[in-house]
Amino acid sequence: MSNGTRPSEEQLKYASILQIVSLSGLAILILGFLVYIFGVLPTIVPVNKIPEYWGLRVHEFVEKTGMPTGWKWFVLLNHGDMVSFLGIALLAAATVVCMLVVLPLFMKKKDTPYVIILLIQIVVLVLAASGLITGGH
Amino acid sequence: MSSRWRVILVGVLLTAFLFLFQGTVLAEEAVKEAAEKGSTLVWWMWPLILFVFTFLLGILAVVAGVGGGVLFVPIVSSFFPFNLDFVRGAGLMVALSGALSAGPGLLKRGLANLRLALPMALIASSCSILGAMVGLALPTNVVQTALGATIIGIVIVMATAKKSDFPEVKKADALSTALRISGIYFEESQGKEIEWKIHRTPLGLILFILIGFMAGMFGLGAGWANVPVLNLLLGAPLKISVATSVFLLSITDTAAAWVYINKGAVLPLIAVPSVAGMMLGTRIGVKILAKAKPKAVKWIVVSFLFLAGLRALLKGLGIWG
Repeated sequence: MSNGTRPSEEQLKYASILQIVSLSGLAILILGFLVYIFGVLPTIVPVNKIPEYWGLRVHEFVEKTGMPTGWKWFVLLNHGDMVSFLGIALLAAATVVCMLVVLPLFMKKKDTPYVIILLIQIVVLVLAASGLITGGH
Repeated sequence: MSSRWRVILVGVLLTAFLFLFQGTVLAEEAVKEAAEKGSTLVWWMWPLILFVFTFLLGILAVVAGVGGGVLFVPIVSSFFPFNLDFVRGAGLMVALSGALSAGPGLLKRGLANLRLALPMALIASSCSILGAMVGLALPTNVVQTALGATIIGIVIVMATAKKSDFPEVKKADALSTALRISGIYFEESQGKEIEWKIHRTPLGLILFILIGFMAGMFGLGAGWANVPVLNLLLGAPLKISVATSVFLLSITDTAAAWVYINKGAVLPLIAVPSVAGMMLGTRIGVKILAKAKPKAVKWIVVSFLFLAGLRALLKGLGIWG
């Protein structure tokens, strides 16, 4: 790869972090799911009961099963069905982690437009992750 | 294509379609039974069926050159007894996992471009949150009708949109110049380095409002829309457009996925087998694609997508199902 075609330092850093976080997320997702379906830990909603409720809309499902919403799963990680959320959350958090890592590189280069874009993007993703923005029922 | 691969492909296709049609009957019966006396299927059969189904869908998606994310929601919502809310939540996770897996390689090879993706992603991801909120608030039949109409629109885009390997961009526009969105990549087919720049950036950003909204509302991957906008409108080379589109999805779908996760619409029992099946299927699909590239498969899959869209539309309007 010549100097001209070599991706920027920020792009390469972003790619490396993305690879680590997303691979870890996928591994934890699969492991968590195995813990869940093999009944290694107790569950909030028994796995064999889920098919009775998955035809319902999400707000009805939550109402009838008492499944936690938002980040409540985090304090219930001693339950099999909540362990699966660890991998899901890690996959969904991968992007913001990468952005936080490359932000200082853009700042160092005084690339103001991209510093602003990244900062706004991080705020948007953190707001979405926080559960402050949900809407719906 | 060798006859051996032709036989394998036809076999895979036939199995997939038989499975898909069988799935319709099975799912409808199961829903009725579940409503009346509870499902007779052992619970673990469902994730297993879903895994095999998405595995076949993953193979077909790659061989047909159609994004797995766009196939997942209309087809799974048509043939499985899950509420559309959970299918969309799983669909976003499927599209997100695919984009996260492919992203690092594409960025390292300089095919996906961070400077091109970030401004578009900011607009698309913000609007995908809005789309997710609207999608979860609207009645199911309204979302289903809109999904059906959108899928039919996507099929029309897929059938008619042209692609340009190296679009001509005479002069970069002021915004892309200010943001320094341009690049050089090595084009293997020509054995030389290709310089590229883009134009019409403000119009592109406006279109990403709509793309992001639809991705969030329907839980669809948005490659079908990203690529034409990046390639035909902005003028990025096709390879850069396709790779940047995949990377863009990792940001757009992340934002919407959080809304679904926080509302409880990502069910591990549906999402995890789908993610695993689709990822394994796409890996096998890539191997099949290296040996054979049958154009007919694309049209079979697109036709099937059209049927799934039509079914969603009619279901939403209360005419079918």
